[in-house]
Amino acid sequence: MRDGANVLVSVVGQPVIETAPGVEWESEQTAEEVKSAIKGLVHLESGKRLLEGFEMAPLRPTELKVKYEEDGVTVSRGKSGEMLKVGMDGFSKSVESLLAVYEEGQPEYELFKVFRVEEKSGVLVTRIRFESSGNITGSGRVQQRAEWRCDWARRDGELYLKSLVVEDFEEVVWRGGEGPWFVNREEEVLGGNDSWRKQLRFGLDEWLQRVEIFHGSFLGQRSGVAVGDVNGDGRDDLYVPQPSGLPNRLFLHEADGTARDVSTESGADWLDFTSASLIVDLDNDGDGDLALATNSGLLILENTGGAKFVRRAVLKTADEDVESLTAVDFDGDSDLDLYLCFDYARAGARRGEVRGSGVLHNSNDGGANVLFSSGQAEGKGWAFRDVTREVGLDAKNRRHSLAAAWEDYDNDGDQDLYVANDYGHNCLYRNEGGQFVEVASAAGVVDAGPGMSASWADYDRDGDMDLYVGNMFSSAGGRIFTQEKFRPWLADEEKGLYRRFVKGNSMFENLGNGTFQEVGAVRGVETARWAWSSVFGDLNNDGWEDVVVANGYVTAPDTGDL
Amino acid sequence: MTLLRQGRSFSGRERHCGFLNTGGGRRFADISEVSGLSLPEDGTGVAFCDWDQDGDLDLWMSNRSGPQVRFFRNEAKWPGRSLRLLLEGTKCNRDAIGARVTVMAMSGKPVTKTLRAGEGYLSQSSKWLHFGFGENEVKSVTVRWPGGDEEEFSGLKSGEAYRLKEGEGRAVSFSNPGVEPVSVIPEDLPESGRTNGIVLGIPLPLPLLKYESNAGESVELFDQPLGKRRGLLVNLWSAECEACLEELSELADARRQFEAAGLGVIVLNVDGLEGGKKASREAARRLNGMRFPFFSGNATESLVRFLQLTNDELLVAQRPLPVPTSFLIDQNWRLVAIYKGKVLPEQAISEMERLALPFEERRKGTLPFEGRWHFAPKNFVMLNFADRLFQRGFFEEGRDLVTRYARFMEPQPLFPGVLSNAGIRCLDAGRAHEAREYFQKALSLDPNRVMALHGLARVLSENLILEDQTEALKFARRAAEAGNFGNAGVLSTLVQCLQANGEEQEAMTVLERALALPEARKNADLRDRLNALKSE
Repeated sequence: MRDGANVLVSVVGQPVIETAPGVEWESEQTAEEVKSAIKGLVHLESGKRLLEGFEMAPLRPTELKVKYEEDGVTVSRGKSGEMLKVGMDGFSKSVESLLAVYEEGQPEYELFKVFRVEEKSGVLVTRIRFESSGNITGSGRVQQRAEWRCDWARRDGELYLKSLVVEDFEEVVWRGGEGPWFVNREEEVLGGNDSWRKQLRFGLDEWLQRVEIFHGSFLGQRSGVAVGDVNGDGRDDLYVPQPSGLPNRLFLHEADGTARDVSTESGADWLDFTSASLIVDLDNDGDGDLALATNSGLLILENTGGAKFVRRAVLKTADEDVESLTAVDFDGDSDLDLYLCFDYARAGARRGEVRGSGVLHNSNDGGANVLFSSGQAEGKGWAFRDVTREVGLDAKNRRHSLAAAWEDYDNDGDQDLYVANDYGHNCLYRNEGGQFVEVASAAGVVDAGPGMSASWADYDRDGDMDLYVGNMFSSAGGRIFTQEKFRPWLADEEKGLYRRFVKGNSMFENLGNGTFQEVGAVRGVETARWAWSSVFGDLNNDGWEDVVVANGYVTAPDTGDL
Repeated sequence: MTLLRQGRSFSGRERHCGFLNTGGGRRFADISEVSGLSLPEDGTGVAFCDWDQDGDLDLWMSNRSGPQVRFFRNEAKWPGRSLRLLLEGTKCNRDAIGARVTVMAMSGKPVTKTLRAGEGYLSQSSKWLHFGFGENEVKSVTVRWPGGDEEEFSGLKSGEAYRLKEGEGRAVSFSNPGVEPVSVIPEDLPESGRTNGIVLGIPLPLPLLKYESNAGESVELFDQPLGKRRGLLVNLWSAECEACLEELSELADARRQFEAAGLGVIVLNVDGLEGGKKASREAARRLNGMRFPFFSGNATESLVRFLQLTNDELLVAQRPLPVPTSFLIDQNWRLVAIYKGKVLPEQAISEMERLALPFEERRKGTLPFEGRWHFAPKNFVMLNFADRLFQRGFFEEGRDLVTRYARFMEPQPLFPGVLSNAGIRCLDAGRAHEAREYFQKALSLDPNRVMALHGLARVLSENLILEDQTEALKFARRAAEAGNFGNAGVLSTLVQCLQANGEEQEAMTVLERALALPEARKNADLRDRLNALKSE
């Protein structure tokens, strides 16, 4: 049995302080048992038992309603129907009719995730998320998502299913007619380049076996991606930042849709670990310059024409490891200023050499974010000035910031700033004539969770901008933080913060009066796994903003999950 | 952290999600699977653009796992069309970042978007604004430029792309017919991005190492095999590994090249580690049978552990060394490269020659690809390495390293810390004499180093042979003072020394002081220890 501390490490990737000695999380083992029991039942394996008097609702609700049917997508939802007393036969019929939609009754993918485990007067109450997907008979794809409440009883150490209630069920069918929706075409676009063949096809895990620590390698190197035009042909080019010791790559978008690596001749092949990059016209001369968030500071490269880059400035900051960056003209002087987010205060922290306080929901020992005001408009060329304090952005500025997004949320014509922070409160800085006031609390967007990303869009088309914040959903966290014995010394309110921490993504609807309402769960966009970029985009040209979430933490090629 | 370095997963294989706004923004449907987005990879960044210019949004995603970038092309045939707009500021910033664009359709609610640079996580989407329309027609397009000026553009048609220039009130059609990406599925893709060699950015000084001769004696690698040669290739092999046997004959065939280059070769068999003497003898017979022209012997368990540790110090990914693995060592007994899998003779020889190159030039060849550094690392890894040797119980090796390289290490500010750590490891391992030496050496470089003072006090008070309670008390006092009486462990030693010297009263005062420290409040073990002293 793993002790509490270990389990918590596996929940959030950071040790949680002060786990009471002697507290054991039997529920973790139970969750494993439940998972294997429900899986066994659904797969109709022998030896998996139902308790006498077992009752269930049809796994595929009888009153399934079509809620949406457009452009090849059909969405049906339903809740638990009448509870029926059935035996193993009835159960297997229910499974059969659940999966009947699939070609040969077989989904290609399925997942059982136990996200609540509670013992209530001898009954084990569990909540399980079921997912499946595959081809439908005919042509098209289908996916199912359900939440089951399963109650179990133990007999001679074995789990027997007592009842199964379908708390939520959604089925989505895609009949695009001519084929799939998104198709991976990176190889077609990039495959002609050596850098694709030898470098980009392989992940960090591979490179950590090859690039010495000496060159700055560390486990947590994560990079984003930028698209933008650097050679003035109107087509978006692609910049791919890279881990330490591997050159960043710049690809020019050719007329035939492929992309050609010009990193070396363009002067964009930096080896310093680069997490984020921006293609923006910093000197207002009509071409895309580059701003790179590296381990060695913020590199500013001027595009001197035709995608030839020359290093013009290196912006140094008190905290060294820049995480992410955004560009904006915050003061309306017609040049682009840069806002830099920092996760850790000290260099080396990202490499795990020193740690933060590890307080999940309220860490206040992160790096200080910086706003650099551009000197271009004043004729000072590539000089940038740190104006963080001057404009009031030093307020609540010691969080572990991973991402920022600018938007005029109050429709007053200037750019406000939302900052997503890991381990604690996020910040909303309202721009009042070039001065910023932190109003997250009053606006209702504190979202004290593991903030990873922020994205704005008017998803309800009411004329103001709503906000989607990437967090993480952890079923282990959900299992543990909801138990009574989890840190009994904490006040309920604080326990709530822990539960909040692992609940998933948040969507904040702008109410138009300067405040927001959190609607992630009711809109169905909360449970989105270990989320990083969680962003709005219209995926089907209907004018309504959809959502994409990039997911996953560390996948090793050949081992199970920690 | 350690498990991750050893290649374990953590929240791995989590699939990407997609949610479809099913109208009105009231509810989203999970389309992760049917959309094709749900790859079980470690995705981080997302950047939208209409890469193929077919009128719908595609996206680029960055991954921590391989491949490091994915292009998700939107290949559905949507009945709905889009309007794509690229803004150009003339009064405001040229990119028009911050501009708010509202598009009215003939029917339905307006669509509003803001042009941003940088959002989501670590990513930047296209500056082409993309408006989906359903099957509607455009009525009007209004741009609120950063700075506040509003401007209306007319005559735009859905399904088209336009450039809008601030102050011109006229949209210029941008035509670039959509194209299918050419299908250049490349052939002969390498199975790994790694070449087999890890060439060290700065060669790493090694301690003296031993192997077991075929006669079963412990022999210094440094002596005969290196001798007066310019370098030594140490190869680990197993008779059960086909690649090893091939490699052995390739090495043998290259005897003249090695001799001309002054590079020695020694092959050490690992089969005895599990198979005992019999396996070693069998391996030796095999070499005799092929008249192997170089030195040979057996790798000891300690040598293999040492080489593994060295590998783990150099790389974040700590993976078991495969056979064959070869280590290239130069004449100054520094590790130059590690080759996992077969090493080509010319590979090792040319690496030896590259040692003569100036630092910057040589370093270029130590990375898999060319590129430029803004701030090239120049870390000195030797201290960490020495520290790790003591941590892992390689006392002889550690001692050899800190003595032989004292001249290089002494100027390093971290060196006294390494020595104090070494002292503590030795003390804990019952090597009190060595411990005393390391503490003394540390104090000669940094007379107020608390850990070293404390360590000496412990040696002198705890060790039966070296015991000198008067001296111990002196060092314990100095340690407490140097640490401003803030370290409960130090104070606990001081209390013991005071008691041993009969200074009961002062001992009680210090004890109370120690118990009042936050450290003692948190640490139950320590508290118990202090309380036990109190009751004595």
